[in-house]
Amino acid sequence: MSFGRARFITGFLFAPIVLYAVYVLYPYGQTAYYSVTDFSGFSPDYAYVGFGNYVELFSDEVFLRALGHNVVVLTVYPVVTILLALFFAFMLNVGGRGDKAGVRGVRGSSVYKFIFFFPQVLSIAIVAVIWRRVFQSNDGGMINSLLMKLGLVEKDKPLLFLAESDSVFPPIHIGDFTFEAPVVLVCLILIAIWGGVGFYLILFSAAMQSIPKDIFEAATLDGATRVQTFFRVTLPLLREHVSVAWVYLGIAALDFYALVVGMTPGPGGGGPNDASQVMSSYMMSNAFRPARFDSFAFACAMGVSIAILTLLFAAAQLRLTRSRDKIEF
Amino acid sequence: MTVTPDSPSELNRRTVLRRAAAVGLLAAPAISALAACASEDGEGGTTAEKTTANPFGVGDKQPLEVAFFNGGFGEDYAKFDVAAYEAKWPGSKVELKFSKTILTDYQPRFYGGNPPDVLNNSSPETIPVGPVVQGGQLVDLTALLDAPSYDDPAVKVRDTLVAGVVEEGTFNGKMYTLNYAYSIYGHWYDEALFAKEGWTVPKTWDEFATLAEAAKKKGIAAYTFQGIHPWYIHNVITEWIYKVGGKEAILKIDNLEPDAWKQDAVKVAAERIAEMASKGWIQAGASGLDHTTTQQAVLDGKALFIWCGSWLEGEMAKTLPASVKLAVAPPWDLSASDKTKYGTVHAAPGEGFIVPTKAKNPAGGQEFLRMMLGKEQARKFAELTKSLPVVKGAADGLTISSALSSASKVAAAAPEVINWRYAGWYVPLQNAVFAAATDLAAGKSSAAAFQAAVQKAADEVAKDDKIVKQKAS
Repeated sequence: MSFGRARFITGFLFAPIVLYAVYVLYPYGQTAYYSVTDFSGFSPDYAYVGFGNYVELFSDEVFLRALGHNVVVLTVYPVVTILLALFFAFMLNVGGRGDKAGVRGVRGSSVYKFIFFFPQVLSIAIVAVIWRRVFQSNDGGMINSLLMKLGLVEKDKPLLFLAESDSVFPPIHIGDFTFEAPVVLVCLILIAIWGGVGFYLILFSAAMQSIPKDIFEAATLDGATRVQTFFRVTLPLLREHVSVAWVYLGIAALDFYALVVGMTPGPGGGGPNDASQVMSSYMMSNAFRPARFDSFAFACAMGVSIAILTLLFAAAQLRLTRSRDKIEF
Repeated sequence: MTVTPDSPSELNRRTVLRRAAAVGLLAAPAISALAACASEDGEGGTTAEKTTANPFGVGDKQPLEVAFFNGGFGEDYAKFDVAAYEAKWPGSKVELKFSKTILTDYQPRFYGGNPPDVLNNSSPETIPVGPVVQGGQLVDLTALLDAPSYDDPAVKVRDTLVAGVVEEGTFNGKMYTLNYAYSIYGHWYDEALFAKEGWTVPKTWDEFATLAEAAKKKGIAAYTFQGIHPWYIHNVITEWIYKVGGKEAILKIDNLEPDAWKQDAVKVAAERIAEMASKGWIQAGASGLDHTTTQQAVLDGKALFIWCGSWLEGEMAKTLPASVKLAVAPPWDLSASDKTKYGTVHAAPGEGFIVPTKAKNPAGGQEFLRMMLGKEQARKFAELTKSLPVVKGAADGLTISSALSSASKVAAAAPEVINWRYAGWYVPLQNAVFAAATDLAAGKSSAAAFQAAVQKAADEVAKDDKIVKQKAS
């Protein structure tokens, strides 16, 4: 790249970079600085306290539980979303019956695309309202009323869903760290998958459409079944896209704030009994529902830890899935 | 399409991020310098001599900034108060602001050292008094309490207030918050339904149990609670602990005494809630429902009692059937040996007002509050908001609403008016009661588990020297 071109690009980027520096980088720096003080968020007088907040953080029971919940989300949400999105994208693009018209998707694929993408256009607040109705814990809830009509659930013992703190498997304790998947968290993951599949479906669809049709036709001519086509042809050619999706979903899994706050019981969400608390929701309740005078600084330490964990995750993810040989077509 | 690796430009995202991070780290130390500037701003504002008529020495033509919470009480009473202030201090322009999120809107102004002169510190998220007091940012309102009242210079402001206002607003031994509205709490029910079924309001646990079984046969739950908002059920259990153990038991809790939550009173109260859950007297699935859904269940005759404050009727006005007649009952006796008599009512001042020290006109701020506590303004508050102010006798002779009259009647007849302090002082302890009491009412836990969980939180608060301890008496 010539020097003139760099200057040209920098000229255009000047305003965005200034905005980025003022509204993103400066607050980042501020947060990192506050995390080693006893800043209350209210008074401009505060003192440097070293890394005490961090030491406390990693012996804080609720934070470790919240971290465990993020790990559960991180292991389930990206995998299921990607698998479903890949499957649907394949069916919509190349999964149809191969005949004279060549390779194509299942019948009515454009309608399905619209349906799958629909949750993506809804704001998270609307998603929360809809799903609260679906999971409502009495005969007014969609699932409960259905199960009651079928006689599977007794009228006076409705399923609690978002108010259920029991784990779907017996909790595993590793030192201070508890690994569990409360029902409420599983409900949230289901909603996140429902909301996320559409976007990745479109991402993978676009990628599949850019794969030349003759590759699929050649596979079909050679007698490959749909399953073989998927695993031997489609998936390897989508490697880059899956890797990107994985990073996005991983970051979303380490966040998960909006769903927790919008849907779960308790002040600021995270309930019942911290069963759906994730790192970001716990951070916010420390910052804005302070238990002691330096809670804001403690929340800043949490914010920095979340950022570091997310960066480490993204770096590891990109390294692991980096493709060694590029396929050109 | 060609799949290529990241384009090899010098300005790729990662490099930019790396460089930017370095810049961010360098910028951080500059913040303390900025902060130091912000704290330079001084007191100021007092320009006139302090007299009986002007106890705070409000200066002539001193502008005043007041910020009100825009919630259940609406905007009208604030506008009335501002008009009254401007009439008394002609030339003092009052800037009136409303906010639905006091914390979000006013935290930066505390930090920046330019807060308003009066702040109505109410809303779902309020400015936490503890940290702000520790920073010396709130005016001690003792001077306001000892100032002559607005209507009669011979009577101090302190003596015009109902009991509990000073205690409720006190932190570290001084009153920093003036709570302006007086709420009466209790178990609300539909009088019309009780009359129709020939039921009477229970006075003892046995009467409640008989009623609950009778209601169950009719497919009605005897009890419900505002599930996903645990503040309500935490009030029920604390109220019941007080009912059983009396003030002595609650003081142990407020003062974080060892094993305060292991007392018998706590055990009895928790057992009663667990019993209601296990016998199926609580509305099915209530722990997952919100306040409007469960409150509506009482209005619809699907549940008999719900604990709430005197704002209930106003809150549910839109969906209140005409046939329903809301009334409030005090907690029934929970054991044969309750320390407090039947009829004991929980009532407390709320809707706080604070005056920041770094405000430009704190004298005007205190004068504004003194005027708000005047007879005429307090009465107007009752009329406009259908709620009681903390000024004695302010709503006498006013017929506001049947629910509020019922509440006032119950409060007037009460042998003892009760309240407690731990919830406002110790957030982690309140959180523990939130979680444990909800589990109890959802039928997921036992009295022993409740006691253990809350005691653990209380012990942690007691030994955490970063939490400032208060003393109740």
